[in-house]
Amino acid sequence: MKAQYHVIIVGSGVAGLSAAETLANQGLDILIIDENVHTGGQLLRKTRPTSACFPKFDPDRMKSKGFNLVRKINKIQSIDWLFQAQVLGIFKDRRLWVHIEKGEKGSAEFLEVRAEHLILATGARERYLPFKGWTLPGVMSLGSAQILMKSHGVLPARHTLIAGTSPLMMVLASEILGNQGKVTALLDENPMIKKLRFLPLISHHWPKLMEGAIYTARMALNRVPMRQSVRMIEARGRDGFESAIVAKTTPEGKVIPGTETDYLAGALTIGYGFVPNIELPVQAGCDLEYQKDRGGWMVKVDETLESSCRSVYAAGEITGIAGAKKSFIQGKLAAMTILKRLGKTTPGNRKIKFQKDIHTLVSLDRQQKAYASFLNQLCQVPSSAYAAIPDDTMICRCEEITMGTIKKSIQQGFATVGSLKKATRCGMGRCQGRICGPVIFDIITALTQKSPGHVGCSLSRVPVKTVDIKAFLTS
Amino acid sequence: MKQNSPQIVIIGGGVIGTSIAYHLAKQDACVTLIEKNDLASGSSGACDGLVFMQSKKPGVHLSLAMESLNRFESLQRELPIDIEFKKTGGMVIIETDAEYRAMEKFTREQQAIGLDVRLLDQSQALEKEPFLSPSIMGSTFSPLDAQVNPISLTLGLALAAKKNHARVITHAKVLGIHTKNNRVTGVATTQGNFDADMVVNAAGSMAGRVSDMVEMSMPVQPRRGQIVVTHAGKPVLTRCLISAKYIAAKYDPSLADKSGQGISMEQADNGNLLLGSTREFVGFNRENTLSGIKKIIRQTAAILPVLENFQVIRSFAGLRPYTPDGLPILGPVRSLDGFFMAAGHEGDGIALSPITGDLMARMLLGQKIHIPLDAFSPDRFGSNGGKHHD
Ligand SMILES: Cc1cc2nc3c(=O)[nH]c(=O)nc-3n(C[C@H](O)[C@H](O)[C@H](O)COP(=O)(O)OP(=O)(O)OC[C@H]3O[C@@H](n4cnc5c(N)ncnc54)[C@H](O)[C@@H]3O)c2cc1C
Ligand SMILES: Cc1cc2nc3c(=O)[nH]c(=O)nc-3n(C[C@H](O)[C@H](O)[C@H](O)COP(=O)(O)OP(=O)(O)OC[C@H]3O[C@@H](n4cnc5c(N)ncnc54)[C@H](O)[C@@H]3O)c2cc1C
Repeated sequence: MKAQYHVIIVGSGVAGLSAAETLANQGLDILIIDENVHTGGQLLRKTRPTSACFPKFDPDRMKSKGFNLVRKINKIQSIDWLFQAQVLGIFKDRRLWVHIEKGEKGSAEFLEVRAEHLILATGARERYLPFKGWTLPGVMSLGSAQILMKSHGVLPARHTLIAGTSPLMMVLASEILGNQGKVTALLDENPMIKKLRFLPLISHHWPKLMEGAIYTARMALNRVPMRQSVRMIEARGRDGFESAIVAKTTPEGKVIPGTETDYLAGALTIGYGFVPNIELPVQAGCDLEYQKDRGGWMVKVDETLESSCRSVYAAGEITGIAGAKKSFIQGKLAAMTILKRLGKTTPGNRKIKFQKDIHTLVSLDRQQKAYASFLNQLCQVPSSAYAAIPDDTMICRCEEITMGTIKKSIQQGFATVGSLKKATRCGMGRCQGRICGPVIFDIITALTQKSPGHVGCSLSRVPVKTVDIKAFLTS
Repeated sequence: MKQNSPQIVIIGGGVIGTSIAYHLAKQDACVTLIEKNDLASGSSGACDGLVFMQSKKPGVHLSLAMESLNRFESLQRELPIDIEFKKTGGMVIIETDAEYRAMEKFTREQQAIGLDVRLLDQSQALEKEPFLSPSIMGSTFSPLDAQVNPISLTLGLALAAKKNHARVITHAKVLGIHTKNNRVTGVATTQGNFDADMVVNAAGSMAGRVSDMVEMSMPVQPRRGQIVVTHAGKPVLTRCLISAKYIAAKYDPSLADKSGQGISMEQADNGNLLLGSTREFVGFNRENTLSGIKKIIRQTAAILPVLENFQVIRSFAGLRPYTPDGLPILGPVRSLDGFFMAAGHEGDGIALSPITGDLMARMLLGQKIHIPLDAFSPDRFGSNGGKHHD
């Protein structure tokens, strides 16, 4: 390990990996840091072999491209790696504060390291729409269910109910079926018309269309009940999840009273799309921007992915949710921008070709916008759904703040994310608003109709993840 | 609201501005509070909530603090939200022989004026707080010390002021102050102009900048304090603690660097421990530093070893409004009619906010005041704002 690197990449998802590949073999000191045990981020989160039941399914070849990248990069000697290492903060001059879970002495350790150029590729996390009982054990996000199966080989339950708006619902259902689990039902918030209306946005992305079609066929083959235009009303159970009450909605997304039905299952998995992980960019001092069709608050970058902070670049989901392909492109583009600035060109490339490559990547990146728009609009629940959350529903799980408390404070005038946090403590607990932050933004916006800039964004401070005081005393 | 009563504009929605607004509104005055961000977005939202008596030198400062303490209980009843005021008692932790001797002298002076404070040896201190490290020398104890939630206090004062018809305007930055014939006539803000017969500068660490608008130099400087917050754990502290080094750091900035910063600790109602704090002159920079965080944790864990079972969930930093003589600046400014100062409470603004609001309201409304206030006068620094420290 060195005290300083030419380039440090935070996040080894496909964005981070494709940046590393482009930067490798140029005589640069490169460090990749990821809190995960493995490379590959959300796309390749996989330690178990693919199920025997279904043939390998990868229509847009993202996964195989990803695995190729991992294989290639593993052979490169000149890159330093830190796994199970969280970047807790970024200080002046791109100095990173890193927490290594198992240091040289086997215990937790801190490391301080400086980057001349910093690529932030911290990806995305899931978005939630709270309902009564969503904090019950046995109710989990789609991503958590995926991790259970992929990393630990455990099904969420024998019978799993899947609900929300996310395209990951089908992916998860398919994985459950592949692992001999049962899917009780797939409950889609979206009405069919909404999906059809957005289809033109991806008419040029035929692999995505095919992917959708194949998943749908697979659900039908396995006789998974599929319902559309339904909203989760309540999760019930004594000590853990036992059943869910679900109601039909109008095309505008209003619940139709009297249409409630219930489903029995061992687990409920939910997903309402994704939000960028902007905590570290905020630490670094990067400006943010809000774009609803790209996942909400995200890092503001120029065409070549430099943020408002000089020599800090952002790539992948943190510059707007758009899926793996854009992350591939942006990782490469951020790396090329750095190479250009350092006066390096890729081997065999003359400067002219290099410039052309950057142009190509920029336009490829732009082309992903239509798919991004499709993806995010598909995942969006109508604003009225946030306004209609019942008063006794828990919003901030850490501090146990209910919708009723939040509504009252908004009425008292605490109608920005920052002031609401002060007035109610929502977002001040252990998770520091990583789960409830985007929800609270949506609730305030739904109730006040104020602009995103006015409502604001919950700003994190160091450390961006909780850290044991022990680590300070042994370091 | 009374007809023809003077229009009073308060600049700053921290604990001082909101307290003045509340005390004025209670008397039906015509008051508008203007805050450039959210309420409590300055130091009042980034600090501890210690209402410490025994950390103060006997004299005007301590008498003001005692007057303030007496008002917290009634505020607890009057304000529309729970301000979590608790008379927990407080301890000053002594780690070395030299500190022990210094605290002996300090407490003797305090006892002489009748303050209820005593010196405890190591075992007496551990009896009161069993999680303290056996390596400490001893402590002082005073039952008078208390704690409060500073954010709830600020928001509670603002809500109560609003209930009494004060106007509270947030996200409006004061850009300039209008004057005519050496009188203030109003303020210009990012949300338009507001007429005023009197203007109160309660802009905390930025009070110097606001005074500059009327070409008046006030020696208020930001003094950064960093705080580390742990997750909500089981109760390990009943009282609020400061170290003897804190008292040294507070009264002698040169000692602040030599003897470490001096720490403070309290456990909030919901179980979070607040570990503080640094005292740094770094301009208006409100960022945390790694060295600051590390120093706070090492020093607090030395006194309270059980901290090793806790986790850090966040840190933050606030800017104390520092003045060269350690006293706040309160009252009318002789050279400009209608312009009042209420800033510079440094590390005691929360504790002093009830009395400050009360006194300022009386001054603004021309009522009688029972406490001598010369020591706090804005004019004490001379025409050019007095000597600058640092
Ligand atoms: C829960 C979830 C499940 C998904 N499942 C799929 C799927 O099955 N198929 C699919 O096509 N797409 C999936 N996606 C979409 C996925 O975001 C994109 O396909 C793509 O993988 C994003 O790549 P990325 O490099 O931008 O981010 P990511 O792959 O998310 O990589 C970000 C990396 O940064 C690391 N990181 C973040 N913060 C820190 C920190 N402070 N310190 C150190 N490391 C840090 C993370 O550990 C992670 O490895 C999923 C997304 C989510 C959120
Ligand atoms: C780490 C730390 C720990 C502390 N611990 C304690 C403690 O335990 N006990 C205690 O009593 N005190 C403590 N303090 C001190 C206390 O926080 C301050 O003394 C107090 O908050 C000052 O209040 P204020 O209203 O004067 O300033 P602030 O709270 O800073 O309020 C000033 C307001 O004015 C606004 N403003 C500035 N310029 C303009 C403008 N041009 N237009 C409109 N608005 C403007 C600002 O946005 C700000 O909100 C601590 C401070 C720190 C930093």
